[in-house]
Amino acid sequence: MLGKFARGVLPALFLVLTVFGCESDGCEEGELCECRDGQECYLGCDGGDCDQYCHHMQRCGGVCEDGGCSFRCHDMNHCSSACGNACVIDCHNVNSCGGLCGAGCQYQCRSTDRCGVEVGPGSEVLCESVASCEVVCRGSCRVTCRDVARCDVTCEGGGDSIACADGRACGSC
Amino acid sequence: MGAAERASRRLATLAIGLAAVFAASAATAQSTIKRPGARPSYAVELEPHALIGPFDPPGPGDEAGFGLGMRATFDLVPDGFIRPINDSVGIGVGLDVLGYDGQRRGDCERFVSGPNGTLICTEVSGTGDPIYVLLPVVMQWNFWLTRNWSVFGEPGLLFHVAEGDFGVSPLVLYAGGRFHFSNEVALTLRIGYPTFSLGVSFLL
Repeated sequence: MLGKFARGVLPALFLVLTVFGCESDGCEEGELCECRDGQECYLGCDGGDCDQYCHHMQRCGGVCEDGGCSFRCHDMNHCSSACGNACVIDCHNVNSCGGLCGAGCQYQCRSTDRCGVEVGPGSEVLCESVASCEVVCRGSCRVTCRDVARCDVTCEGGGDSIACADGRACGSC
Repeated sequence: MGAAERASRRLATLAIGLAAVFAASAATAQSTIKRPGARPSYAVELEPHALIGPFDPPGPGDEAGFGLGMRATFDLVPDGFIRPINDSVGIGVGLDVLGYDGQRRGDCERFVSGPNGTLICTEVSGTGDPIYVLLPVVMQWNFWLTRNWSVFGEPGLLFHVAEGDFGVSPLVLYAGGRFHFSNEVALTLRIGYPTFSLGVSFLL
């Protein structure tokens, strides 16, 4: 009886496990999670180490907690990103980029009509080839503006930012 | 390659492989397929099973899912549809509960106003790990190949509930095989969309 069982069922089980190995469409921690070629898509992340990527869509965005998420976005109408601390965001070649992020955020906004970003303490923002760049800093921050028609930086509590060599800062340059 | 194409290709590969495995195994035993009635007699088959969901399910889930379930199949046409063949037909109803991964993408549930007139999404729907309750209702067509082996096909429909949303898949298809330890107990493997199962059948 066991011989028959071994000859029939065990190969079948092996076949099932072989054909259906682990496979994922991404979006787990540490994996690339992508939206592209569509109208609208918003990416979430369980945890804080997601690699989110939007491109060639109408509207797209990423939402992430603390822990070093990265979000890239390009060739779209509007990109939105909301994340916790220590995230890295790159938004370029879109009509508008909007972002909220926590402390230690690195936000790049390039070749864009309109950028609007609110960042936490210790963050760095780059606006390059942008018509209008508006940054709200909740603490110290550094905003670099290159080839920007309007570069506005508002510090926590409505305080004035200070002028630096190629941009503005809250706190010190 | 799209998810549907990938699923179809994998399912076809598995079906061919399993057919070969079952055929090779059954060929070594004495056939009962041309002896109608030479099979265990039972009114209902109760089959608790473990489940994997290797495909994207309907609704908010993403592969892969894992869970437990139960199938009850009532032997309604003991002589089957084909008189010279040892077949039988039953109606099966099931209750399966699986946890799937969320798709980690969806619609924006909440926008807030950002600087410079931007709108920023701060909450995305469908990013949790949904629990599915699946209720298959199928016609089970059995073929009793040998004393130890039987196979079946199960076309039917599937009711599913996940995150409060109720849906119906109008056509699902399973296929499976049993290894009979005795007239009352068998090991049952089932493949299909959206789940595969491995369980123990009690023929009562």
